[in-house]
Amino acid sequence: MIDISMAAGMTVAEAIEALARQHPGIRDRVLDEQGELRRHVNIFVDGENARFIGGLAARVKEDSEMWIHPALSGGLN
Amino acid sequence: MNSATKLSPHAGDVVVTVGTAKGAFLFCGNQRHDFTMSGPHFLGLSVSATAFVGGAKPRILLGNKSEHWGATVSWSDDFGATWNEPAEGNIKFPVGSGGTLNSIWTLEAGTALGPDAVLAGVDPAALFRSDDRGETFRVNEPLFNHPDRPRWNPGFGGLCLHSIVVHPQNPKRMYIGVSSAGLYRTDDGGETWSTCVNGLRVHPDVPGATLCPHKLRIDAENPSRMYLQSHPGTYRTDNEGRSWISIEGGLPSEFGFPMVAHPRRGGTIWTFPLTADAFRVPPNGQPKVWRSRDGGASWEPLNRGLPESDGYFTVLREAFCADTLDPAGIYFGTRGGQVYASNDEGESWRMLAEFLPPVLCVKAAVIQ
Repeated sequence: MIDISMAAGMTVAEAIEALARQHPGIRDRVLDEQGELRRHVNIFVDGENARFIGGLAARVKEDSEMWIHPALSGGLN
Repeated sequence: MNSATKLSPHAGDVVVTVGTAKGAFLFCGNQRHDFTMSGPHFLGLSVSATAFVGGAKPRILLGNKSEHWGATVSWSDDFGATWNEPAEGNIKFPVGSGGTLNSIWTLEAGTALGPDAVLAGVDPAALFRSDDRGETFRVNEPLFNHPDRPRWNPGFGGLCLHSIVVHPQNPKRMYIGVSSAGLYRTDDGGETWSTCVNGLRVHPDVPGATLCPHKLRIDAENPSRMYLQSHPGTYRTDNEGRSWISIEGGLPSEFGFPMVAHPRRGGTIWTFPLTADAFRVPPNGQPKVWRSRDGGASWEPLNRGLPESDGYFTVLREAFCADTLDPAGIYFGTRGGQVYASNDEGESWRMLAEFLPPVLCVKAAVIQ
């Protein structure tokens, strides 16, 4: 669990930037080089999948809890 | 097989890097007799490309990929005891280009370009160059923006730039191979690229099929000559790629993935034929390496020490290589997880590992 300062109305993208300032390199793990959320990564804001509430433009609250979660599923390997 | 967390090779030893679908393994051969294994490194990541970057203590590069967090080039300067991962992804398409890195298909130390130069071929097909021993890379924009690009179709393995050949005396001349797009050549260091596919055939049963080269290698003595294993066919050029002739006569199949050229002796090449097209297993379940010593005019099977029957493994294009000792050592890894080595240019084989994850790439270096 990592605490970062978030302001009301901040977007998920801005929250990731704030996180990246504390932990360089995490942006590239979460977003591709075009700034899109990686295919097998989901972000949850207060329990909601950000993909369904605006994606990277979804808004967070000051006390929001944001989860960056790799997709878990079976596969070929 | 001895295993160790740290390898300590001495001069004359061979280090073999094996990238698999679930990590990398390093093998150190004491005079190529006793091999010690270290690994897995980057357990859980697919390691699809590897290279040694020169010097008495070579840097080991790995092109690795997490299905979640993306692909990067990592490196070790102490034979795997420690690894450096870039804080930021070090192979990235320019912002606004629309390109996103899927995987790293090949890494080549571009020694003709300079001691610190490294070239990378990736999916989606693009060429990247590093001048700091693989720590940072930049894309070759003229190739990425080539007018042919809209007609490049991905093969079953993706739209991959899998082969990079730099002319040993004229580094402004390079060749690249893309599945399924074809072969391209530059004579000006990558500013302009033109196709060099005259004589290659497209798949005979697929209307409108594009070319699907699999692996391109240059002759050790005659840089005008190159060898190509393609989807339909095995080929040779004697005129820098201006035209190609078939050299698959004598092979049990026209299909296969890898092509390896002798590090010093011109005209000597190895390939690993598979039955085409959907089956992709050794013909009759008898895996054999095939060697030519006359530039593909004739071939001989080499399978002493390989399974004589019921051998249905595949060898991928990046998973077959040679070292530079005399006689040359040859190494390959299989999708079944085996690693085989030969100290006598393929005359005989022994297994270095049996139960690895599917092998994606193999490279060998002799320690100075």
